[in-house]
Amino acid sequence: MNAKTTLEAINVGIAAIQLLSNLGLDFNRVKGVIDKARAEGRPVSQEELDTLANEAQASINNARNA
Amino acid sequence: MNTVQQQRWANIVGVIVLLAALLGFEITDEQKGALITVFSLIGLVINQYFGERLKNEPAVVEESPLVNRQQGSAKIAALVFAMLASILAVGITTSVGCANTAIVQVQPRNMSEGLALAYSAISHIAGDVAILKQGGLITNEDANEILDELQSMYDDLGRIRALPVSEGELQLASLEAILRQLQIEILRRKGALE
Repeated sequence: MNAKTTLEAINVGIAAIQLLSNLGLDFNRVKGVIDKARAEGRPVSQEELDTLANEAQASINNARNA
Repeated sequence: MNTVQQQRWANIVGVIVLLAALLGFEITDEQKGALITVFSLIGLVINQYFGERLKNEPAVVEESPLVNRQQGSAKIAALVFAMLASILAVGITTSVGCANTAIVQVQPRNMSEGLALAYSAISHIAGDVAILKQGGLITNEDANEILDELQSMYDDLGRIRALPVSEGELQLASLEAILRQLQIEILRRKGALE
């Protein structure tokens, strides 16, 4: 395994780890919002939706600038 | 097949098994965690075994600078593999899970929950696009194409929120279509990683 292949393997591995972290964080967060709303017997509030919407737009903008 | 080649193949097979366990099989997160932990341990044992064998081949190492360099690379690769396998095992077992299972687990019961999930899915996929761009695993053109689609979905969600409640069925149908598109984006992203 030469240095280039090793480097590529490391890059793929790091990307995989980051993707998994991203998955866990995002869905844990929205699950928390939904679970809280259900526990309180109400729909997800407009404020909570606004926050999630702002985060979604920020993520899109960040990805464009990455 | 010499020791370096055996070790190299062991690493390749290990990485393939790990990626397959991560991306391919329809199994639960707990099963994925257990599977990857087992293979991580096997990988550590294999690498330790080959590492010991490499130490016991001084004659070849001394006679050939090329083989010496290959064995050095193989040792580094073995360490990297073992490290990544361990980190992945920890990451999988501690993470609640991948998008497919998360979306299935959190079934929206009403409009606001569907919107929350859709916004979260957009954030998630945009974050993944950024990671893939930074890792050089996706071209800028492909990334921009996905981001344009995400922006379009985001705008659609804003319009759906503004619709009157009486059009709830239409809203739900639109949301369902958007969530399906988002899931396709997740699968496409996984394909880019493979």
